[in-house]
Amino acid sequence: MQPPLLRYLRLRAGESCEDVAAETWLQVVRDLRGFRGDVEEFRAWLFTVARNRAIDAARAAAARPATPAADLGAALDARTTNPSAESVAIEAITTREALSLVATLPGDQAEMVALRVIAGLDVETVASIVGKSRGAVRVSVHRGLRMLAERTHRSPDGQEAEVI
Amino acid sequence: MRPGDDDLGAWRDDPLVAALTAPGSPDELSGESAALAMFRSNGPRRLRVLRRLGTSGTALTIALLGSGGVAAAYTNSLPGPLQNAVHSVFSGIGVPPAPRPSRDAGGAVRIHAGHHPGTTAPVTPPPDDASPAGPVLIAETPHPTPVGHFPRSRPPARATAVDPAVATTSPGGPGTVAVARRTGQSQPSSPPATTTSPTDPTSPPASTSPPQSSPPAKPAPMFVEATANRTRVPFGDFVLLHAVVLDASGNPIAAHRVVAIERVPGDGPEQIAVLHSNAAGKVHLAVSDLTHDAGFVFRAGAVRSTPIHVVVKPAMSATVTSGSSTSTITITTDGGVAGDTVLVSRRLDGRRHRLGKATLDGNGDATFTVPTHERAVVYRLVLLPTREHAGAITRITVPAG
Repeated sequence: MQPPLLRYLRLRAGESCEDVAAETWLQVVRDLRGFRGDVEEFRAWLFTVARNRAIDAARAAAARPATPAADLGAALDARTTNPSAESVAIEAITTREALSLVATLPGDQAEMVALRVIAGLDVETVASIVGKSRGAVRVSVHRGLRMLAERTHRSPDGQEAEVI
Repeated sequence: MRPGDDDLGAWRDDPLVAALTAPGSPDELSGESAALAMFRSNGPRRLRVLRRLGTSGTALTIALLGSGGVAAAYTNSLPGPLQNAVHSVFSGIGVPPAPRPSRDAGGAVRIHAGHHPGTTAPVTPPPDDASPAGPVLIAETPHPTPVGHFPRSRPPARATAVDPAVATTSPGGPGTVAVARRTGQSQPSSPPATTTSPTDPTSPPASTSPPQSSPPAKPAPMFVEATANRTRVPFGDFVLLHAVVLDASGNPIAAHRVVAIERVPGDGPEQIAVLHSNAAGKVHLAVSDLTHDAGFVFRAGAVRSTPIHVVVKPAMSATVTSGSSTSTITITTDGGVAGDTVLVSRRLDGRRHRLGKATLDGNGDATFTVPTHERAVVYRLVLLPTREHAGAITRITVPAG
């Protein structure tokens, strides 16, 4: 479960995803005695913990905004030289590039796509985690995937997407 | 995306979805083989959980949160019910009471996250078909994030001092995992840590080190940035500290020795762990069972981080025993210290009135007697903050007489 967890946290927590993942697992270890459930329930619990830890990390970062000096150069470079996320992946799309594309979606939608596709959670579980209805999750995920497919000039059936 | 979720079936062949659900990269999957071996060699009967180890006093505890997570993350590739799988995997984090992991003459425990030149043999990287005898398992990660999990005793009284901790890593470099250990409480037979320990990071590498070519000069640390996942911690809970070592250009310095120092109010600084930064220049340290406020500093060479002050929030609860004319409020705290003051007040006519104060006894408890009224009355109990904790507030309703 570590790869999907890291990918989800990369969307939620950015470069601090590994730190947040570590905190997630630490809390899972601490609270494991109280957990009862099967594989899917553990998966849902794990990502719920990860989401909460990512929210905490974001609050902490907002309270003490700081950019490590080592990241400044990269950040400046990214502003000036990096291609847009939409232009990255056309053919052989990599996981990191795919994550970059998902990150271009609105925050809630990106999270629902991540929980649904990356984490593999069902609609009901995602709805419970993000506090939305099942219908909203289903529609949002489909629209998000369609939007991303259009950005990669592909539709799910492999045909060229329409340009709206 | 699970096969049964038909509403996303049309997207299953989409390249973007395929990329998002692709198997883990080597970085993401680092340590998987060790985790699998760990799973196979550890049964549920050897269940250990970090918290249990942390509260077990002198037992040493090892936290393995390599490269973004415990090696147990890979349980979805393991057979069997998840509960057993996860428990089995996590059991490898702890050290069973006996037999202990290999210990050198100095009493320090050596744990290796991988095979590194210059280190002695790993403690127990169990083979895939290993017997359950392996007491410790460590995830092998190409870029591990060193984590020290530092167990703290929970003495019945604050005055109980804990012997100096010996925390060290193997001199093997950034691949090692920090281990911290308390001595002197329930392990009188344990040999004391001495400076002759070959695990002393200041001592020369073990004689088993193969000859190495002179490494390039390592840049001197200029900054040490330290953060914590939180600075207000419930009594007995943990805090996870992070630090990154940077050079003058702001670039991370890998494999640099980082010393974690704790300063407790009223006591001097105490070295609690020695770690080595990973490839990203980071170290992590989990300090569990926090029982009093403390400050933490990371030091790399002559550079120190800004102190991180962690305050402990005691837990306070109250019960009431009602009588015909008076009622007794019994206050129980977890984290309160003998002599601490609890203020008792209530609202009356829109204003808060302080009725008096109670003093905690040696067990952290106190009682307060209030008159029984014809109507239920809510009393506010405030445990005043001290140098050792942040105080607590609770309310209790005394029913009508």
